[in-house]
Amino acid sequence: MLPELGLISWDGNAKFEVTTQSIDAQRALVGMYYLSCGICVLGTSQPQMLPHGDCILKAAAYITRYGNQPGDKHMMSLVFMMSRIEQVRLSLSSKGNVHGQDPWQRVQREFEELSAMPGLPPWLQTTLLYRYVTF
Amino acid sequence: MSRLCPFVIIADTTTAAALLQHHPFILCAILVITTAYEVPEQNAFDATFRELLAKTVIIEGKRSLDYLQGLLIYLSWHQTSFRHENAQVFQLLHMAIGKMNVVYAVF
Repeated sequence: MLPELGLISWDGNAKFEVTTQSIDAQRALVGMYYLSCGICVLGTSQPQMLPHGDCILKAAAYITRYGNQPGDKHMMSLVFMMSRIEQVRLSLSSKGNVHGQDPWQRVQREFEELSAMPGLPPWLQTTLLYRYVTF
Repeated sequence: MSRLCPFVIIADTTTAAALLQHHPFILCAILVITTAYEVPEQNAFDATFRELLAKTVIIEGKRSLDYLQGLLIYLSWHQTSFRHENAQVFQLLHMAIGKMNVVYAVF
């Protein structure tokens, strides 16, 4: 379905002609990843159906480079943040302790690192705080 | 709304009539989530959204960016239409991602 929606090309290469629709398609892909993390992994502990990967990163980089909306320049930060949260959540659910650390200490450390990211927009900070509280 | 959900951009100059003509699914999703304080209206729009989804995607098998963007908006405010009895929000999310995942696996 991704090629039909214009999210990737038919040969699998991420070569897009820059159009409004192509940027919209990339936004949709990143948005679906964001929702997948938020609802599946954090909200219901269901398996992550759209895991983090190169496809997501390329889409975020594409939006950051060619997008002209206020939120576009934060897409890489968003993907990075959600992938870190995804990793922490998966590691916590697998063994409890992660590399001998107290899980809550690791979550707190990750939260502090992410909060210290420069230029984090308010809506991302709100999301981050929500995810932290719901852990 | 774009500030809170930067994944679907709708120009400030876009009218409801234009949305209805070119992006009916997005318009329907917006109507569902913006009528949170009018429960009867929201229920009616919600039913319309699901019927439109079933008709276009399941029965007619259409695939378009409009459909994906509409679902994104709808699911981003899923708390407004979450139903505990069947958790259909998760079904909708899995349906959208499941179709994307088929191709995503070979990317």
